[in-house]
Amino acid sequence: MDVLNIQDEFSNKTLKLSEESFLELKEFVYQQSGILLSDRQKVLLETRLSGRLKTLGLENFSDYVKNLKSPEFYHKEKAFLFEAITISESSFFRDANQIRVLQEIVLPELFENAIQQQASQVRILSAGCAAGEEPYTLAMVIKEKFSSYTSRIPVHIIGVDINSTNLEKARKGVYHEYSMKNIPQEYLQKYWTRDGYHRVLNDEIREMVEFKQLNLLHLNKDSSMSRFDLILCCNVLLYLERQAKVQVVQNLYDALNLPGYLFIGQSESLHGITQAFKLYLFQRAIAYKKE
Amino acid sequence: MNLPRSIAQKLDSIDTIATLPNIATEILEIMRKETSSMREIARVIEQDPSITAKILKVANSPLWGYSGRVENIQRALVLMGLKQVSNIVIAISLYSTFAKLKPNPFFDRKKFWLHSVGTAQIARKLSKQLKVNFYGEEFVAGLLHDLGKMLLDQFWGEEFKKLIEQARAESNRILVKERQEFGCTHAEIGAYLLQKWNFPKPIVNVVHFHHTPSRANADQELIGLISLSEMLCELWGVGFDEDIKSTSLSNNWSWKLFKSRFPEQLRNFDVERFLFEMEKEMENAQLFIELVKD
Repeated sequence: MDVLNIQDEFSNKTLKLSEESFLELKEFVYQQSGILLSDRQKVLLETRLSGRLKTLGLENFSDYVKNLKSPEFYHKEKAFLFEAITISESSFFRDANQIRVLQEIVLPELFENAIQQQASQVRILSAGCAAGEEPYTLAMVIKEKFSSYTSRIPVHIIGVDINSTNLEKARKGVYHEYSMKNIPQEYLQKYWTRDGYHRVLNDEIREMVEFKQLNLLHLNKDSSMSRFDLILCCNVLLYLERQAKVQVVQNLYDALNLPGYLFIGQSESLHGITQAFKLYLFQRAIAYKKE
Repeated sequence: MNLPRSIAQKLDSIDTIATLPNIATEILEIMRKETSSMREIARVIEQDPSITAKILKVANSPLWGYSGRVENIQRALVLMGLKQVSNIVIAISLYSTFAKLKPNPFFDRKKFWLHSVGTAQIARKLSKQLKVNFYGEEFVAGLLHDLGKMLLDQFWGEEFKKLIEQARAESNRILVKERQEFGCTHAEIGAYLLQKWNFPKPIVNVVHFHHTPSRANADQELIGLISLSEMLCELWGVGFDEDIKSTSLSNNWSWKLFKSRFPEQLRNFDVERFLFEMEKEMENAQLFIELVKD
């Protein structure tokens, strides 16, 4: 018996997540965060969390799920859990469907609208922008595909995050290659220069985005954080407790123009959090519209 | 159904489609009776070993998720329901008839099946969510809703191909082009044939009105269900030249109908979750196709 245990300890075998524990975990995560795990993620979670379970001294997933239900444990474990779930290291061009929908439908609509309304600018907010990957992705897309609009109306892109280290990195615009794997070749050639294992973003794109340190809970207290036509807030809400989530979503709603769009992360849901928005379905993407 | 005379004449005159497979005719006949017995239905199905095998495969698959093996048709009828099984038999027999016909190269039949079965699967899931029992009619209606497109491809191949290319080039809706070119749409053509074959009225109505649900005088719930399911299938990326790019549920006719008819069920309906879970339904659709193909 002892011998077996020792062998187990030293083998790198991943732990198995039973169907039952997976369903329980899926429900729990959905209730807590609004993220719906797909069945396909089961194996991924086994690989990603096995090491974590061993560090915690847990022998199986059933105990892990049981522990998660204690608020103190969950509070401490959240960061690890969601890192495993969301593939959340931010990267450029992360959600291809979302970008396609923005490019083909939403951005043209917003530009047309703003010009028709004789607005002074089109305003975009990346709420929880990490090290700038999301707002810079938008900036590149707009530079590349919407010059016929931007010559008629200026675009103002703002990225906010609570973490100042992130923002410092964002302002520098220097990234390791691993966050760049989805950037289309034509964008890489046009807007980036290489520096060893790093790539440096050109000034013309960097200058399109303004960064600000801010807690989304206090968005409503900063008057400059308003009149946005488009807000992206991806993989941020899942970390918040329900009450905070409601407050942040309300803040985002208030910060939007009429009409204005809110996009959240892939497989994130606002069900039960707000009824203020109209839900719009696009091809493989959803958006919340204030109208 | 008022089809232009030339279209109707052609549909009436083509041998391959003028007659429905025997098994389907017999089942439809039994279903039309006031009381249809399980033994009668079982006897008809069992006469066709290939269909019997397919039904058992479906019954034993995760699609229906019964514990224990479903060994024979009687058991399948008990578990899945008389109407449900009958409807699936009809759909399978029809599609194997069509599978024998040669498609035009431009008509992506794989995608067509996936769109049809995907719509059927989504309709099934949606009806469960609404807690309305359509007795499997939602499944067969989903499967058959675009039958007219297959007919257009089969018997008006050249014209249909040109029409689709034009619709794509002009970003025009295919329905508009169909009406211009043929004087009627795939919805009307499909419904015409099903009516001729004595399909139950609700199924004929779904096929007829799935693009124009507000014009239907009867079976609105079933029509709304399929119309909405098709749209969701399309937005999932398995469309068939309908060119639906976005929609707001709250402006959707079918959704509004459901809200007024089933307020209780829809009050807490988690739309986002339903959409995320469609991935599973599309996998199930693929599985169904594998199970019933020859």
